[in-house]
Amino acid sequence: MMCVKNLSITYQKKLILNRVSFDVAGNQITVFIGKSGAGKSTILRILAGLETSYEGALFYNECDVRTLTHKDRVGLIGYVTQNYTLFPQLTVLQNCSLALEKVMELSAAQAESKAIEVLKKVGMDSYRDAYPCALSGGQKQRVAIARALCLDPKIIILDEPTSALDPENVNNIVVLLKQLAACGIAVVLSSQDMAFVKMIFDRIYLVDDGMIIESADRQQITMIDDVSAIKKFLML
Amino acid sequence: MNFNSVIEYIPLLLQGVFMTVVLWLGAITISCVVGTLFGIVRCRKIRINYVAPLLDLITWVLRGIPFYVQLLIAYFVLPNLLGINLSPVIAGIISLGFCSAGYVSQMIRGSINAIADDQWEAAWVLGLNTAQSVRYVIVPQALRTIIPMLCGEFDMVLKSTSVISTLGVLELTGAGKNILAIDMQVVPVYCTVALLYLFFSSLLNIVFEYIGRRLRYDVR
Repeated sequence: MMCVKNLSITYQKKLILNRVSFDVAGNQITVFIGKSGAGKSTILRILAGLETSYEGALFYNECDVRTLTHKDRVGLIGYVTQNYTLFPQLTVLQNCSLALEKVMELSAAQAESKAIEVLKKVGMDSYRDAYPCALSGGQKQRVAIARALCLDPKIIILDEPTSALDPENVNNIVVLLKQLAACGIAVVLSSQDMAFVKMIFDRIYLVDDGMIIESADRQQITMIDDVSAIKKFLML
Repeated sequence: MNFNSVIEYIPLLLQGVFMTVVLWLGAITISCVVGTLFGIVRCRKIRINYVAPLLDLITWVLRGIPFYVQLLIAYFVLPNLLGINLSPVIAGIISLGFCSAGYVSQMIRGSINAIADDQWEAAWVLGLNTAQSVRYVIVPQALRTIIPMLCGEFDMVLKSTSVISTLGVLELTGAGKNILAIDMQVVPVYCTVALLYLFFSSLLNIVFEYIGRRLRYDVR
């Protein structure tokens, strides 16, 4: 589905990512793990289009992602940041309908109706008129996911989605992300929360010092021996 | 103290109040438009090559020269340089408007720069272009911090209109001076003028306080 080849990026003469290659499949949850500063978030930021000065190639179904327009790109890849970054001056509904109205050029009524439909999917439609300041961390995370889903992306990227959530909300996010994957959306995320990662991953990549040093599928992980670093990281 | 002379000259004072309001509205319109444009173009996330440094320079000049000197330049120097004669009122509005725009530009730039980078990024990953991000995401958030500063600045502009009386404009202070020339009652005339400034300044503060409260999305 998405093929990433030889991704490298340098900041202030320091090599942050060094020839990273991986694939992202639809219906799957792909997880990047690794120490802080290993380069996980940078990989996600490149996929989301927030970093442009990289080398390497990103293909989606043989199509070079770099050649896509901004509008087409956000319709392909949705991104949820670590701190949710909801727009505090807008209600939950306005947060979700803003891009539909201004970018996808739907009418206000169509945008609201679509946003409500997506908010229902994530169980947040009853909070449509609330401002982000009135929501808990888990609720903010759901709204941030809904906001990204409103644009019907084929891939949704989440940076540390459970970093500020209690166990109950973590479980809610696990259920939600598995539902999204079951609907055919490729879910790509990074996390330091190993309990969460163990529950959710279909494919896992261990990133260290800007390189992917090991990768495995859920089915393989207990059977093969050459993923000892991942097993150690996951405490399996 | 005899306030009879003040009562007798109420029409003259009202004429002065009217002119003060005209000068103030004209100046804050220029200040808002020019200051906002300068502030947005000069902010960290937008900074347009060549244009932003030029606007930095203009802002530096506008903030570095006293308003009274700018007023004299607008009235006496510009006609010589450009060959256009400005009326005292127009010279007053333009010089006060641009002088204030220098400060408003800094306020807007500072408030926009204070918005976290991830808000720009969140807008970008939703597909909003820079203009849409500024219009729908950044400026509405920056307004919360801009409004109290603008209130102070517009209050200052209101009181600075009195300086324009030096060009012979019959605004509130000028009207007070005219009444004084006829009646010589220093205390009642200047007390009345001062109270009128205080009244309009308080009104402005009340309006901005209300606007500021409406923009507080964290307590809705």
